[in-house]
Amino acid sequence: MNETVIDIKDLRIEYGQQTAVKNLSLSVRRGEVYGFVGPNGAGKSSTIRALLGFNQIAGGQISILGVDARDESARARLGYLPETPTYYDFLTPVELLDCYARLFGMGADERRKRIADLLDQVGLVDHAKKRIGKFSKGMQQRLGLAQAMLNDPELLILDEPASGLDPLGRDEIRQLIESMKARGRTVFFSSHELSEIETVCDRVGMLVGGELKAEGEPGMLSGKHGVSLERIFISLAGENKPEVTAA
Amino acid sequence: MVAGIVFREALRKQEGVAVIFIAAVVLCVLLATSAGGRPEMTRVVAELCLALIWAVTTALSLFLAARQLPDGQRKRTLPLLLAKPICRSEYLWGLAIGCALANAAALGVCYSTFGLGLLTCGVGSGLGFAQGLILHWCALTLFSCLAVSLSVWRLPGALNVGLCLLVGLLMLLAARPLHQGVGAFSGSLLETPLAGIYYLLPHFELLDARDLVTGNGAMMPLGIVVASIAYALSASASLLKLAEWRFNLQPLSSD
Repeated sequence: MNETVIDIKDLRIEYGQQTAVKNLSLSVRRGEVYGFVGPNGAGKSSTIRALLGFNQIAGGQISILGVDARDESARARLGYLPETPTYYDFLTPVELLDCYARLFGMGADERRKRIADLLDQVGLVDHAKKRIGKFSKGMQQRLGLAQAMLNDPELLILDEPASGLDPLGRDEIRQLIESMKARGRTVFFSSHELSEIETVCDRVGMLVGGELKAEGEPGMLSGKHGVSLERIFISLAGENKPEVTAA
Repeated sequence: MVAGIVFREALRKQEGVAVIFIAAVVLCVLLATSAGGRPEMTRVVAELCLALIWAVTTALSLFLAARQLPDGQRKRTLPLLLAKPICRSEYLWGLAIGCALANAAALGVCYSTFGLGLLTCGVGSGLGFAQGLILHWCALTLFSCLAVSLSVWRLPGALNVGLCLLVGLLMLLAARPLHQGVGAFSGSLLETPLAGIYYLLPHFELLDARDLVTGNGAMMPLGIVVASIAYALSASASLLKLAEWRFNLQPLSSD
């Protein structure tokens, strides 16, 4: 339970002269659900991109499951669901999942069985032979869940997963997180939905202006400051906000 | 895996339709010409049809290759793919292989109908035809690799295709005078640099390939065909290695 799944040390991400993330250090333990919150431009997505090895980092270290995040073997053990997943619209869900499953080195029989199971779980069995280009947003999101779970990941990274979804879609995301937690898997997700964070997260990190301003269990953070998580968020984000004056 | 995606895209999107349309047009034109029974006319029409196949397949192959990477970024399919255990180099090579397979399929369809048309006209030689087809595929593969490589430098699709066409045209135009130049300066100080440039340019003797396909010229010695293939593959690999180096340095947007 105490094994570290995500270990970020002194992470620094720069875009030209601009520093997006400043000496960020955090760790996420196995089986934990970690909520990563912060206002727009706080550096959440930059951090997630770095976790996935998409960004060159200016300083620090990131290891996932004991492997450098840039190493592709790290990505073999994680699942990722972006805010708005998009796919090759000319493929069917079976073809898409089959392509991805091949990257995980699954054999033909394993692929067939896994894909059939996942499509059944996300309710896309009847649309298995339909081109993804004809899918609704909800169906695409459910396909997103299926692709994120394809390799039965030890770590699931979700980038604003509930953003723009209807209550049904949000509920599916919450169920996914809870089922991962029940199976002892680790979830790292960024969100603006503080009510959701409070409900499902074991720990929360608040990122403001590229710096981790607060971290801890949601209940502990609220109790320590004597206010709700939302108030803490607004207060921390407000410190970093440029002043707005009426004309 | 990436190659399979590119190949499916070519089959299911506009490229597949365009190739079938051109193949049908070529077959109809050749059949109509053969019915006329004038050999000199048949030969001219056959060469025009071959030129049409060259132009269309070159354009399709360049557009397919040039749009892969920009589309992956713009439509955000790339971050989802690269979040799987695949490195960027594998992705680039997959694109190139997918384009090469799509080129082979397009040429296969076009040359089959073209060959069928030639047979009904009583023109063409079997092995020379195959040699011309192989050289054509090599040239298209090389152009595809050039387009994939240039797209890493984030050139807009149309500019990329335009640049590839220009480079391709210059290479084809430069090949013959350079070849003659090497012969003319044989034994002089200029021979080595000229020969160097000649072999550095990934040129293909378009006119020779045309003669091979339409049966106007003698067959090429097997060694030269093998050397051409090796040359095309090594030039393609060099372009992709350069692109790989650049692509590995680039940040990738996930949103």
